[in-house]
Amino acid sequence: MLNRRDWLHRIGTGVGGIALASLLSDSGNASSLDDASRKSSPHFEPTAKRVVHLFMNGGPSHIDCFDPKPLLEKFDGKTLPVEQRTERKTGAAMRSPFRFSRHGESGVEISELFPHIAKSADELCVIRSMYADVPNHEPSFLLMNCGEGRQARPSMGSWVTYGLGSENENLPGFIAMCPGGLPTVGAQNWRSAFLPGAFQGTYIDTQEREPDRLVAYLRNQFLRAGRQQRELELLREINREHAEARQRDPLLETRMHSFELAYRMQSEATDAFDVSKENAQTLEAYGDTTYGRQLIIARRLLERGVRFLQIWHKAGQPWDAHDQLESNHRTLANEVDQPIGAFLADLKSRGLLDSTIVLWGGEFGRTPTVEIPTPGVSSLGLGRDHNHFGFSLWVAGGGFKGGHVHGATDELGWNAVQNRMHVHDLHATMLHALGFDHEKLTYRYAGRDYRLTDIHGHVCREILK
Amino acid sequence: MSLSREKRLATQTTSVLFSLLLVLFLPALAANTFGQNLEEEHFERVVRPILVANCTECHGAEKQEAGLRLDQADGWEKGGDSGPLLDLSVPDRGLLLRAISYEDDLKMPPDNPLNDKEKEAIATWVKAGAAWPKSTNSPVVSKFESLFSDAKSHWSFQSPRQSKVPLGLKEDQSWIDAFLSNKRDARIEANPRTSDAELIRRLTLDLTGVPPTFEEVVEFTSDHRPDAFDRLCDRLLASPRFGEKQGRNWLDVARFADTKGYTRLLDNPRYPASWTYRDYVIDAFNQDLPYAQFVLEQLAGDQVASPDNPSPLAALGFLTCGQRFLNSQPDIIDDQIDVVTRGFLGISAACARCHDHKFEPVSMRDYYGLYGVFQSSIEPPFPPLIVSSQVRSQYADYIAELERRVTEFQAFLKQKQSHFRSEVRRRSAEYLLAGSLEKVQPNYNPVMFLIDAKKDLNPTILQRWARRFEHARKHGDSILHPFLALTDAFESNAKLEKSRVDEILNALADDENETKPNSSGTLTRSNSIVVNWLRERSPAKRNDLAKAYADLFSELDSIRNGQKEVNNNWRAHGESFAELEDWYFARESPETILEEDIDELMFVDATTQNEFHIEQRKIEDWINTPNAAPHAQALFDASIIRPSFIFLRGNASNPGPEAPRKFLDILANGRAKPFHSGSGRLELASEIASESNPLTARVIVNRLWQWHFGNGLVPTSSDFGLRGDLPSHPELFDFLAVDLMKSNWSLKGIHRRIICSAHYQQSSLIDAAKFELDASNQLLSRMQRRKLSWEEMRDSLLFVSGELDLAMSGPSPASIQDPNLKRRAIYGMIDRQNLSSLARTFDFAAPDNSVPKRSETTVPLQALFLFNSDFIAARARSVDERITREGAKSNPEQITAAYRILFAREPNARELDRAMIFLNEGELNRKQETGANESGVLTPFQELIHVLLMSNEFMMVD
Repeated sequence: MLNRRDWLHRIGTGVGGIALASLLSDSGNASSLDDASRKSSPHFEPTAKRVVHLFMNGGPSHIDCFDPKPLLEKFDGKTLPVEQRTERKTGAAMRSPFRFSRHGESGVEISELFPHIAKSADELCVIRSMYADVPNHEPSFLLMNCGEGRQARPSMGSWVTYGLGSENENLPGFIAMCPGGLPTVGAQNWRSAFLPGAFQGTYIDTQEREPDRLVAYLRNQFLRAGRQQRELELLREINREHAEARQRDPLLETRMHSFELAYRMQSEATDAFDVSKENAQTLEAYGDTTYGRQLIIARRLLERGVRFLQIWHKAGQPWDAHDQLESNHRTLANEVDQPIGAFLADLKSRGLLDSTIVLWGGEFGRTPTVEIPTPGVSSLGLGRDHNHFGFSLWVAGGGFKGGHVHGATDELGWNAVQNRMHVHDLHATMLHALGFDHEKLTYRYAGRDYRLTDIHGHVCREILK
Repeated sequence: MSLSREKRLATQTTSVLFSLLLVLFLPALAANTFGQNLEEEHFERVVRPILVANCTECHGAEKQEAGLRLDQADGWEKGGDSGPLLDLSVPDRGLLLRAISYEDDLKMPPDNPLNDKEKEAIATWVKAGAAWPKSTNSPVVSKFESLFSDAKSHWSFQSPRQSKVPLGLKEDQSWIDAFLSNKRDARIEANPRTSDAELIRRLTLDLTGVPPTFEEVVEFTSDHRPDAFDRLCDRLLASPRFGEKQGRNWLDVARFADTKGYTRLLDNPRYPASWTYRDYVIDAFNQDLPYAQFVLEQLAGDQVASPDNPSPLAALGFLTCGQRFLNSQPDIIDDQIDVVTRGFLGISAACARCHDHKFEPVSMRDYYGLYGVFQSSIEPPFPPLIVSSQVRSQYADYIAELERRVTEFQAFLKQKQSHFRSEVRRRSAEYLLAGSLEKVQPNYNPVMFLIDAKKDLNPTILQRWARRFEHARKHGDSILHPFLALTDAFESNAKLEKSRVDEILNALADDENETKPNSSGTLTRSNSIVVNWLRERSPAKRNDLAKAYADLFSELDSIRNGQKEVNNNWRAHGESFAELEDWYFARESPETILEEDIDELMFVDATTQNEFHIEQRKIEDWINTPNAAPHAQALFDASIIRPSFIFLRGNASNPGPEAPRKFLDILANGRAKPFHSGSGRLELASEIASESNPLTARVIVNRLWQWHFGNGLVPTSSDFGLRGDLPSHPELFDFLAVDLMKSNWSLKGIHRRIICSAHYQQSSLIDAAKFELDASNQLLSRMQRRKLSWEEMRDSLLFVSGELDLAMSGPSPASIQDPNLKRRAIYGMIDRQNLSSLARTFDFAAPDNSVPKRSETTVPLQALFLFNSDFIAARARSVDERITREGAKSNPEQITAAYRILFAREPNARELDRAMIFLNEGELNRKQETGANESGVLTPFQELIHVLLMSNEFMMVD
């Protein structure tokens, strides 16, 4: 038998992944590998082990959610002295139709849209000074997820699983959930690009209710009960004989082992995705809705050691309220508020929140000015255009400060002005919490060491505990 | 004053103004030598601490953001990407002081501005001449220059030399073996030859991508003639399957896909003719097209194609079938530079987009030298026909309809163009007004904005005006100066008295001959015709002013069109008139719309863009009809070749010095000559497809080596630069490269050399002691066992089940992951936007970028697919059907047939017994479960086949 280092060296040739070992799974002597790959923290002691990104695709309006702007009341309907170009034309100032109030001991201001999330106000680190590069969805989705708007780069989930591996080899380490189709720019949001395909996000359409329909190829449809196990036994025997004639080449044994894992994954994944195993209380707390079920699944996956979850609101870009912002935001907030509130409370009560980064937000914010309605489109209500100059998102758990507000936009909510935080800075800070120096989590490709933050990014220590 | 500074200044586009400043600048520097001690003290005590605290973290020895270094004198002298820091003639206007005062867009330090005291300290120091203590000056050789000169001796930039084959070559031994065995540690001798059965399986899969049949194996293993192996090679190298397998290897390098990536609006996401590139590649490998020609055609096929042989046009798919980045030209070209430099040369040039390469001898001049080549190449709005004149008549009906659609499309374009031109002219006044107020968008990209074409101004024209006004404000502009002077006056007073307007205009008229810059360094001369025109009209508000200018422009148009004569008054001011005309009709005038710009200009609004795509689609739809003639994703030289510029920090809206089109300096004896002919693409192709290029032959030989052995002689097979791996066997490597060139670049010749070597034919047995010494197998002490690739797995499964459709060429019938695709995987459609996650799970190369080597992973999701997919169940059923069809009746006969078909061998007695037990158990189980739903359930024999299909014996190659 070859020793483990040789084996790693061999299979790792040309890949060089820190966590490749756990990904490719073990060749029989499980314990040594597991210890080495899973308990290691590459650069320093992490405060977080896993990430849930609650992506509000389309761009929720920060000034209607987490960044109150009283001055807009005063200027409502009036032309502002500031004019900035966004995707479409906007006109006069538009006040927020929603009331804000202070919550928790910390007194974080949250709009009436999120009464349930507000109950966890003291867990939230609200960043009000985010900014991105362009006022368009596609590049902004990719910037938020992959750290680059146009070039093909691995998504953050791929980087994190590449760096940390999975805690549970019976489940994919990186899962993307979206009910009823794909978000804008589709699978590029969770692509692994030049990282091996094994680090791509596994997409799950959470519209489906049956667990074995959620993950592709999870259930066998053509074998009688018990026959799969018999098949596996025969396969094991045939492969063993084959391998013994070949000095038990680890490459062969690895592949044999992958069938054992796949076999177990069938039951484990089915179990993880089975919301019906939750008690009535939990179901009631989250609400029996698509989004609610999605977050219950999320919690079940986190408990089982899944490393990175991208959770989309629904297909496309629902939060894109170019018109009828009030009803759009009320409906959408109503869909996510209760589940997210329950999710936060649930993670906390199970002791998971401390080691889980929960990130809430869109790809950008919206303008404090009203969008000028497109001719021909019947305008039923006012809306706002995209605003990448300044927007809010919040982080909970994972070593981020709770009940904390970081940075600010100007008095109108147009531009991030104080403690400005680019998406790259957010990524750097999240990687830091996960135990990585963002400048050192690299992958050599095309003659260059690539990283999530490219050549940018500053860790913002003020928002970490 | 260093030479580099002079050069920098001289290359500025507004060189007149700058050389003027240069003259003023010299005395200032000289004055600087007086009173140095005092200033030095001020510097050390006050200024340096400010710099250290605020600047040098980003602009110091470690990092030089924006190319700027502020911890040594020459850094200060050179300035950064945005130009010189100091302007000692007018110190207040220098970039440094403007940046720290937060006046302009560039605000430094970015987050925490200096306090007033600090600002003042810096200002005092600058105004006193910005003296830098002599002691801390350092040599002025730039990092890049020294890197470049070191790189000249790097191994891969030297021509390959054919050294002597090591002594002791036996008659039947290949020189490859002689080199590999030479001076080798006796403990890691190669393994003995593998069995014939293993060898034919290895060779057949390596060369053709499908396994050998049982009959082929029997024939080979029982053939004891001395040339049995040679004949096997002949057969496989001549098989059409060879091009399909090797072609797929190349398509990884070419980052080939059939779609554009994310597209907006009605832009067709699919390339209508990408398949002809795929077919071209397969054909090139099958025909053993000399590699140099293969390279040449993929870069400049348009320039070697002829009516009798249009097929090289299809080769250009190498350049055109990449990602389209929402049609952003700088990104498309960046991708082309990357695929060309890494794909053919094993050099990564793309890093030099934003700065000189930090690790490789590739400068921004090199990068933008290549950029210019591709910028001067255009893709036609629809792919041209590639039907040779001989067979044209076969497609007569198709072509007639095609031509009708093309004519319609061109009429549409013409109509759009003239409409757009007249619209821009008609709305001159609005453009002037808006342009004078508009902020220049530093990262302006027209694709990104949605406007209403009927109402809104065109944002590209608007940006041109905004830029023109900004330039006028900073550097003066005799035509626009009166506009700005009056606008400034209007600012305080919405409507001016006529007398005040006249006063201003009179003052401007007095200024007529003034050629000196004013206090802020701006030229303030005004064109006399413009001033007089305005005096006649006395515009009292902004709108009137813009209207007056617009009228002036339309007067110029009328004169140009011959509708009006030049009046005597203007004739009298001949120089001013010439100046005005030159200004207005110049190529760079904001309203000049060149034929070739028009697509870009029209692409800015959704409505027109969609109209364009709808018309374009009419042709593409016809191209995609079943009986269509082949077309090519071609590329042609632009009709007007425009100069290209370095984009500072890679920002396309921030052009710097001109960058002539040329090849990489490091591969041209240190200084490449500019290209002259057209875009320069053919010259570039000739530089690459050349025996004197030290990289081209080496790079492809190394790829072939990797395709056979798993690893190249240089493991980093697209990186032969300073950071790439060294060749493990340099002499052998050079020998191979020279051999390729000597044998007219025949790739099949190199394949044959490799597969005829004892090292290729050795067994894959693992010897623990040898493994210790050669774990990575770089010394080839054994053959590398490997998994089937995604395509090989798919093709093999369909092949053994008798379902593989071996039809070649033509449009893709279905996507690569479509379970109903029965053609070889290479003919499946590749959608880079929604790349099959299944194929990716099996390590299919993502076509985002050129992929030199796929990752090799083994993960449970792969096993899940084989356990549970309908695809695998269908194959198990089909193999069963085939066995029945071929006459096997009893269980032992069936089992034997299954082993022959799947493993190309007979089962041994133990295997037969085991299979019998499995079948009997299955039958028993089936009987117990009677009543259960049997539809869609595998029979016990099909279960056995399913297991064999999943096994390592089927899925691995020894």
